[in-house]
Amino acid sequence: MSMADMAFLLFVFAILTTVVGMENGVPVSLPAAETGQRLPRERVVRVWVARDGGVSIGGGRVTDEEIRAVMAAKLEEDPALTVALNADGDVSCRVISRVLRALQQAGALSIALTSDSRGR
Amino acid sequence: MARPRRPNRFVRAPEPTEIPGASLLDVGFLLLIFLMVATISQVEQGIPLVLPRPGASVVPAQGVVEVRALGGGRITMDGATITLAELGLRLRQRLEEDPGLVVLVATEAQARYRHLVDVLDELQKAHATKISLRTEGA
Repeated sequence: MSMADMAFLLFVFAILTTVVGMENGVPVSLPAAETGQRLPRERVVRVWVARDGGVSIGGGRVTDEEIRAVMAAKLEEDPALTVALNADGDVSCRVISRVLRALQQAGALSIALTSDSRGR
Repeated sequence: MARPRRPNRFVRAPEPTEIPGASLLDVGFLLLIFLMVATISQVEQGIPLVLPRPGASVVPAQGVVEVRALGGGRITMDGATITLAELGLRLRQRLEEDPGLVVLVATEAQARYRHLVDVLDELQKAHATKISLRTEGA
């Protein structure tokens, strides 16, 4: 096997692993923060809050009731889950407060407010 | 007697059919490096929060400093309007005096989430660990 073949094999492998790791999210403009800690790739549930206040978990839009139901089911499978809240920086705190309350009621207490390290 | 035939200078010699691999190798490695750098820059990070169990959140009456994140990006600390940089400085001073200080972060319902994260970022930098969140008018 030549070096060129090896380079392309590595390239294809890197593409595949990246694509598999991506989630079907919502386009959001994350708020900037300097003190954010790196999130683990495993045992994380991503909750997206779009600029218009719509909340989605794993693709489809959900209501507060559905947030509670989905998160309760996920926590039953793995109680050590962390919720990564990917919320748009322009969303009002009213929406964030509502989502955090729904997560709290579902028993999801470990939260990470996902931020962008490059903005500040 | 026949003269030996001279080779025709205008006939091209057959070119090698093999594709040159050296440049392909460079392109492959460049693509690989580009992808690796792009992936590393996409590492997720976040400000960690541990929410209290429902109904378990009680803010003590003493040893509390109230920080309010208001609409329009204004910040107040114990009623006085301050900047984000001042917030960090004052909090560090207060935490040196009282390491068990509870920071009550109250946000107006219409305030932007970006503004709340700015305040929480300053709190993290000041090493404030006891934080209570409240949204007014939610």
